[in-house]
Amino acid sequence: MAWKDITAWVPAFCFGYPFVMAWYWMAGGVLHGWIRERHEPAHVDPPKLDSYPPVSILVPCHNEAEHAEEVLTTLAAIAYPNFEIIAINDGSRDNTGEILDRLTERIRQLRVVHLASNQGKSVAMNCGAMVSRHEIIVATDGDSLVDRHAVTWFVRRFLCDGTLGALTGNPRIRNRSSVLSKLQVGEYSAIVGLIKRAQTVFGWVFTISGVICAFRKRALRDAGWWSPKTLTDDVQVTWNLQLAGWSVAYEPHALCWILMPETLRGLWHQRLRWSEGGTQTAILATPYMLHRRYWRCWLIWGNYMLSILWSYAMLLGIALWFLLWIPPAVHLVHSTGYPTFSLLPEWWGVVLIVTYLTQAAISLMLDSRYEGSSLKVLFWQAWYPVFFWMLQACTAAVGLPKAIMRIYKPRGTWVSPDRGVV
Amino acid sequence: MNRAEPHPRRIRVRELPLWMSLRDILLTLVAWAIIAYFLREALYLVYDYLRRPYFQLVNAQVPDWQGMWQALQKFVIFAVCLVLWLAFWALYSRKRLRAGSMKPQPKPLSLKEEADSISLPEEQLTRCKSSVITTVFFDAQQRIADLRVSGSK
Repeated sequence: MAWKDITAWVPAFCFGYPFVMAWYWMAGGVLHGWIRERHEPAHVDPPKLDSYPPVSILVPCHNEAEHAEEVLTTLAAIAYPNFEIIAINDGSRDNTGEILDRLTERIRQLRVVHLASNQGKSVAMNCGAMVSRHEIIVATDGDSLVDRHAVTWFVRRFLCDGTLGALTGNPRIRNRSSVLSKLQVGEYSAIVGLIKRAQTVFGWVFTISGVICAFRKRALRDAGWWSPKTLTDDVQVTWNLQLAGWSVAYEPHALCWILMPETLRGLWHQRLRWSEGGTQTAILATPYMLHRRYWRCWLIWGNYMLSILWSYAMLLGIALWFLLWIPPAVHLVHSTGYPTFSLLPEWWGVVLIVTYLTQAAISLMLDSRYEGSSLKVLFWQAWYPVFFWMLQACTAAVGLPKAIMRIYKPRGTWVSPDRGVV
Repeated sequence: MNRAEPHPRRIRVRELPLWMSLRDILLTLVAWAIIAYFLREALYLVYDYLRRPYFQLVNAQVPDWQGMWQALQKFVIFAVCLVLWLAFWALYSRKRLRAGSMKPQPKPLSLKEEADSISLPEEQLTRCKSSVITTVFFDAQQRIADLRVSGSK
């Protein structure tokens, strides 16, 4: 293929990829809503179950002194009759350990695991699973508040489908002070929620949300538990579960109230970690693409790789557009023949913006079942098409080389993320 | 279980300075204005079509539908194909997606299977599972070196 042909394809790809995928996600969201969610009762009123099997709830904590008590007290009050809570103190440097030990006297369901040194979330989860007594494991984070009925919804879904190895819940953002967090509320519906719905309809999920998810212990064993080598434990375990023959699905009724970054720096670090971890998992899954039995995985893998390619194509085009403002570089830019992309929307940019706003409106309507006021968030979404797409493109472009380098690193530990100012 | 009790939903709003709230609102309105500016011809077309005389264009130019279709055709066709493909899968797996009745469950993981999978003696695993507080020590290779347990519930 000649260079001229390639450069002719670049603008088509840069426009076509997000345009086509947006309609695909929208269709997936509507189909999931129509088939699965339409007949279900409200999330605060789950159906009565024939049995309530015991559940182990894992809460990994690293420097969570500020949140531990609130999180565990909330968990202890969930509307489920038979559960234990296992808090895993992953080598915290603050007094998280003392707080957890003290809480065991007050919360009868609570048990504690102390890791003598910081080992990372995957090892913490493995140690929590090791001491857990029950077959169904629910996992959340040390700064997130699980909804009273989330566990009931998870258990019901497992009881209704013996092939399910894991479920991912519906994280909702509870800190909404700045425009950044308000944008993320929309993003969790328009992007995360819709993608998870579409992937559940298709039958292969890229990742569960580590902040609220549930597993069968047998499935975790088949998947080789959580891998300490990966940066994003949730992506890796999702792929391993599905490659081991278990299915994974989205349970939108299982809500969890989470804290998200409210500074650009915090947001950048979070998204870079997600991108790096996702890319690392996609690279590690590449050998499976040769097997015909994993054809569904191939489509999700291919989409992820295309999204990285899109990021590079867009960033290169925008970088060349900036060079056009420097007179000596104009000739250089024209000589490459590579198309430039203005930050101001041209006709195709406007079509993408309208498509995204349609997507946001549909997803917020679907999510209004779970959070009544979510449609108000649409006002803030005007920023998303430019700001967040650029952020995603930048983190994907930076994340790829970091992910390639990290494959050879033995294990990653964690640092406390930015949780906004609450 | 008390179903009527409200769930612990806690959306906290930080006390932002007024100027920051106003700045966020103003910037977002500017973003909407930019979007509206780029959509001005489409918006005027809709306005012209819906005002009196109803459903007729008075001042607005008829857009080049043919040209727009030419530009978007291949993307729309591709998107429709993907949507149909997903609709097929939704139809195919609707029973699984809709499942609301209890199904046979896989056998729970036995203690022996669990102990084998993590290379730990069954007795030690049992002690961990019955303790209130477990402390895990790691060796230089980041493998479990020692487990200390205390209390039971």
